[in-house]
Amino acid sequence: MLMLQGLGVTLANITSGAHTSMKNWLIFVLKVCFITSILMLVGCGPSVDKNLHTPGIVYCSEGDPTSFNPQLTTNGTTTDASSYQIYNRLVEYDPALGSIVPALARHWFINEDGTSYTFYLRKNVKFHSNKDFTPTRDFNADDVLFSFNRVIDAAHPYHQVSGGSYPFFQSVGFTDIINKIVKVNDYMIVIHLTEKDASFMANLAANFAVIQSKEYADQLAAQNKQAQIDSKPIGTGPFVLDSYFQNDHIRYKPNLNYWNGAPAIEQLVFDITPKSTNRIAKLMTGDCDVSALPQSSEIDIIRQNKKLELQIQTGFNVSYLGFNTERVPFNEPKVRQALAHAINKRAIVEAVYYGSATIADSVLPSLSWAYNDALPPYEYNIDKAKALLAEAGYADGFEMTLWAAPVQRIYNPNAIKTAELIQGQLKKIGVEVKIVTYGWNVFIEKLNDYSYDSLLLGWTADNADPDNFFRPLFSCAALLSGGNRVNWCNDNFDETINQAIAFTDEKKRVPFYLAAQQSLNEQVPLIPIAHALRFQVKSRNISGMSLNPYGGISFAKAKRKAAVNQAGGAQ
Amino acid sequence: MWFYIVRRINLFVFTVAVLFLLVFIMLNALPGELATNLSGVQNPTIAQYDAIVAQYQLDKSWFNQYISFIKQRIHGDFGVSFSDAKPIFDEMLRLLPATIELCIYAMTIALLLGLPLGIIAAVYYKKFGDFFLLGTSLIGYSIPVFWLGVIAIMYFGLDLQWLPVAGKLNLLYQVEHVTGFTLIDIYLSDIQYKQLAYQDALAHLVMPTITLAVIPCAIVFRITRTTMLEELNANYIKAAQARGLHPLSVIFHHALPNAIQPVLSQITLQLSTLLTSAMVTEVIFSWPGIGQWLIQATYQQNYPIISAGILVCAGFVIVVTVISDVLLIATTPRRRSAEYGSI
Repeated sequence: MLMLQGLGVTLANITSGAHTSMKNWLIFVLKVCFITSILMLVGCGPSVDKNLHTPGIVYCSEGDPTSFNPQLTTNGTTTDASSYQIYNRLVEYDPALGSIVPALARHWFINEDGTSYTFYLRKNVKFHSNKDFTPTRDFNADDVLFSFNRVIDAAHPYHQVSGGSYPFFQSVGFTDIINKIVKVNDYMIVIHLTEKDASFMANLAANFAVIQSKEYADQLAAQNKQAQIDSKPIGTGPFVLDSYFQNDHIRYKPNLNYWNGAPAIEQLVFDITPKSTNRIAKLMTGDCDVSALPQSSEIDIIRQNKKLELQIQTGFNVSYLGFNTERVPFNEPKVRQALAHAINKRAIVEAVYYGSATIADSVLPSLSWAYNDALPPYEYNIDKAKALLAEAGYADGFEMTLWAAPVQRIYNPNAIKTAELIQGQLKKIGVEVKIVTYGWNVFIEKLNDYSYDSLLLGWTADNADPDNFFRPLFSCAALLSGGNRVNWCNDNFDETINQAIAFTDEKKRVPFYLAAQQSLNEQVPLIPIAHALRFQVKSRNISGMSLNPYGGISFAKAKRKAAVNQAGGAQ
Repeated sequence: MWFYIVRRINLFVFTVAVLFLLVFIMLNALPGELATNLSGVQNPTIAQYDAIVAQYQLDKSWFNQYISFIKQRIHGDFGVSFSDAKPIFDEMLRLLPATIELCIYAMTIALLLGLPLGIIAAVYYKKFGDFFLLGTSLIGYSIPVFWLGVIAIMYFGLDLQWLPVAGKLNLLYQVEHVTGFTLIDIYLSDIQYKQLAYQDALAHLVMPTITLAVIPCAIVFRITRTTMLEELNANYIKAAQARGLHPLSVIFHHALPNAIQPVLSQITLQLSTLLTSAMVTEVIFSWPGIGQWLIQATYQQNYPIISAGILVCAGFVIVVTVISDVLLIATTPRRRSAEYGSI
């Protein structure tokens, strides 16, 4: 009884009286507890029907853009987030037609000797407006002049804004090629080149040659807020940047005044999801509609899922085993040919790429109009390899280093594994391979010393022009700029590719590129291994998304199929 | 009673001072400039450096430095992040609600399930139901959170595709960040598809909440069962039964109120465990809370964020423990004499 009194005291203390009501309340609460918890666990059940979402599209992007101006970088993430969404270029490359098509330039005219390009610009193209800026005029020649002069003219007031580095344009020598840009009238400009360059149009169509607003730039300059031009962008593209939260998401609104027809979706969101597995998971559960860069090992899972669609496109890239052609014994073409016969590319494509690549016979993908299909490929043949090695005086083989980067690149998902396979394959002809690896930054830095025997690297083209494969990788000039990793400088070859760009007509260029490939096939400064396929995964109910072989994703025509009908239904 | 509260507050102040001291020593010992570690400003200009030295009194004795360090932190100045130079305190205010939200839901589920199940197990002591629940709770208690989370993602997310596996809300719902609590923010926002947004937010909540709730639920269950058993064996219960009271009435009216108090005090002790599990859960489910932020900061060796995280998380646990102790003592006179200032 004493205890019972104690209980009474305790209860009274808790409730300050109201003894009986407290007890009833407690019983009630406990009953509710159990029922609620069961409901909470069960009641949420299957998730919401994904068709019921607001009419918009979520894209699972792999990282943060470094800015919203693709001129400043060659980083694919930045290009994806800006180039095709916010901006337009003068001309565009149409992957379906395989040719250059009009964009902000309605049509153009190239003079006889290919040194002056006249562009007739589109009228009634509106720039975006945002909180700080409302355009008072349409797009015109001044904007084109501003955008290009910013890049090529070191004295331009905007050149140094955001660092003054324009990597793509520097790599194709834009400043040297362009003599001057002349405004004829508001809707007509002429670009004069210092010399003929057949790849010029392809460079204008690249993801990086976007047009910004001069009016916006002037306004920002007046307010002394120049840097804002690249962080709060104004363009003419199908989407307007709405908000950006680092590490989280980017939100775009459709540009209802878009000259090429307003987008069909009410909003576009880039969900920044660095982990590839997370992107796939979000796709499967409907939090994302389209996803960037699935890994080769995930391809099977995607194929098994009925809701998802895998889009495949041969990428304009190549992964290769390059030789330091100035070093013994790799200065001897026979040795290089021998190794080319000793490498089983099929095995590499299967084991490293899980079949998500095609075997490369040339540095050029077979998709290219300049591809030479008449050349004999180096078939996998140990006996031939041994014979060639013996001819070169290395019947007993030799030792070599093979540099492989420990990072995943688009052209090679696993260079270390590739290196190990090559190590095993070359052992069969008596060549001992020592694999060397460093962190990516150190690796790239150390390459400049040419202290390697051979290396595993690759190249992803910026545009469709074959010159973009040959010049940066093999020209003597590229020895200085650092693209020529095979330390190979061949005057005949240089002559050939220089002759090729002297013609603007593709047909006339073809023979030179065939000859260039022939020369590479004989000399083997590098062994092309594979062209990695480009993948994009999307939910089946999204249409209007095409896959661009040169990178860059566009949502201008994307839409959700039949979502509205179902939303109106009984669900 | 007042004497007790004063002692508690004394102890609280002392504990917090030691906590600050430890973090201060840590920041001193870490590689890099002390000024940078304290303020988060990397490569400061001369003017900035002088300002930091003045702010943290770095030209004075270490005791002055320590005191001004405490002052800055208490005034909400946690410096800026190494990675994006944003004020850490603002970032924390933005992220903390998401974590608290997750913890509250998990704790609610743990109580809603654990308490009744504990009572049931005690009532059916040594019968099948008891053994079954005891076994299940042991499994729940011993499963690591990260494993449970991953299994849940694999099965409910990827295999069955019932539930979303990452984030708080589908990004298509443009819900403005007001309080940071998703459900409240949806209520406050004026978006077009509110109903759908609620469903979506709930669907996103299910897996992280349940994953986080499993361990506290098992703990609540086990403590409730034990204390309930003690009470049921007590003489006053036997007396009540002898008086012919309805068994349910005996359980709910007499035994439970006594049994429930130790459960509540135990729960506060589980708070740091809950926070740790919450961080792991956040990483697994990409839940945009403070845990994920802190773990990323650890990867990036972002010392200002790490030190701020230690201060805030440890501080939070200390504050809640002290408050719950005081409340418990205030409502339970019989514990006053026994408990003098142990934490």
